[in-house]
Amino acid sequence: MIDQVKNTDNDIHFIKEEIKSIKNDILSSQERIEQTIKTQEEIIMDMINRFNDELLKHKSTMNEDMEKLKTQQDVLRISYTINEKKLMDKINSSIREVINRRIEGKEIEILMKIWINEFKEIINNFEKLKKLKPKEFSVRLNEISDTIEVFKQKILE
Amino acid sequence: MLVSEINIKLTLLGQWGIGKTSIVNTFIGKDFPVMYIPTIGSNIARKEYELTSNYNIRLNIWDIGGQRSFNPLNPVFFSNLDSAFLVFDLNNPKETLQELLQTYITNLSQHSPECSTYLIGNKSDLLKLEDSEILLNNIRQYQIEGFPIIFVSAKTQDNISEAFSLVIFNFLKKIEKKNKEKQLTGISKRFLESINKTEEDLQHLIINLEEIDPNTLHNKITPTIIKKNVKVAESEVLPLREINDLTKAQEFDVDRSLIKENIINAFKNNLSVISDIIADLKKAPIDSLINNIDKSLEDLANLKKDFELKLDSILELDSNK
Repeated sequence: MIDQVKNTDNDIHFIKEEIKSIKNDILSSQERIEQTIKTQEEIIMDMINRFNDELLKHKSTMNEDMEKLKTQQDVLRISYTINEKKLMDKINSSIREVINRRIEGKEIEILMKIWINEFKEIINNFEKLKKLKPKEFSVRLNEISDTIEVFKQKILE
Repeated sequence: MLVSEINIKLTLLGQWGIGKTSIVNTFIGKDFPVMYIPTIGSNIARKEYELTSNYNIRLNIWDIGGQRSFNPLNPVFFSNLDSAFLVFDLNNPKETLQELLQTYITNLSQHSPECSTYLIGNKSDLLKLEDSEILLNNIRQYQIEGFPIIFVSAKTQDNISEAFSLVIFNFLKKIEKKNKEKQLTGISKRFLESINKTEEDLQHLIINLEEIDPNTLHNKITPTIIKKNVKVAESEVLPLREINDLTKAQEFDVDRSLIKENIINAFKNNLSVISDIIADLKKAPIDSLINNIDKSLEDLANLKKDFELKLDSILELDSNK
């Protein structure tokens, strides 16, 4: 029995030693891992910091470029507006020129034609004058007079 | 009848080339034209007389083109007329009187039976003694009776203003009789005073066919021309030729650009007439407003056709430049 106990003691001692050794190993591993993690952490942090620095640098450069682009865009916009106006003016001028060429020497005939159409309208609505109240009658006659005056002036021109 | 403005509508009718436009132009103070320019559609001239501060007389003279080829006869020419001059050529009485009988007199009696009509012989400056008898025979033959006959000369201005004055005087006498309103009493007399003439001066114009003979006729006309010291053309008067196609006017020695200018001026002028029609409507008394609107509408419809005819003529003239 004493041998058994002694053996058991030895086993226990051995196991304790083993456990101790394992613990040490674990500790040592843990340390190593921690160290590795720490190192990795440092590396990553360093990377992140560098990345941030780069990012800030780029951002700053980008902002500058953005500003430049915006300025260029504004210039282009203004330039476009001016050119668009010039283009429209040119188009209108060309159209006017073509129309003037087509109607050259016929302005009065065209005016006469427009007057005749206007006059037909006046005549078509003339009977309705009988149904108008005095104030409306007067207004309508004034409208007709004004129309005639406009055409008289145009034809005289 | 509320009177502040008296409008008289007088129309001149007759064959082309007899001097209707010249008569009107002479009356309103324009120069006698150096060449013949056909009237397209109707040209309207106006002359106003201010009798007193309350009265105005406006004579509206419608000169109707006589070339039938581009002046279609519009029945509206004959409606609402107060007076009419049936004009014939003293130098060519037969043909021009025939034209009056065939084309104008029936229309006139149908559309304006109460119109005061006068037979006007133009070109009295060309009348020679030897032609007087033929002339009187022609007038009697065509039996255009019942109308006072007056001989005028647009060229020498002989009897022109007197003939128009007679129209106005007779019209005023008519309305004096019809409307017994106090305001109108004596208006014809006042008119004579304003033009410094007597009733006898004006009645003296009228040729009495029953009393006159060729010698008396010639003596009646000629002294006035001599008195005015007007030189009558000694060179042969070239016969006018009827223009059937406006685009070929140049072949008839008629300047196309002058025809066009005339048309445009008449167009502008007729626009002014519409202004006046509208202005008159504004002043029309309420009790006769409907009537005035109807009358105005007829004139406007006539003018519309006239504008269309003028424009078509201009386009035709331009088409063959």
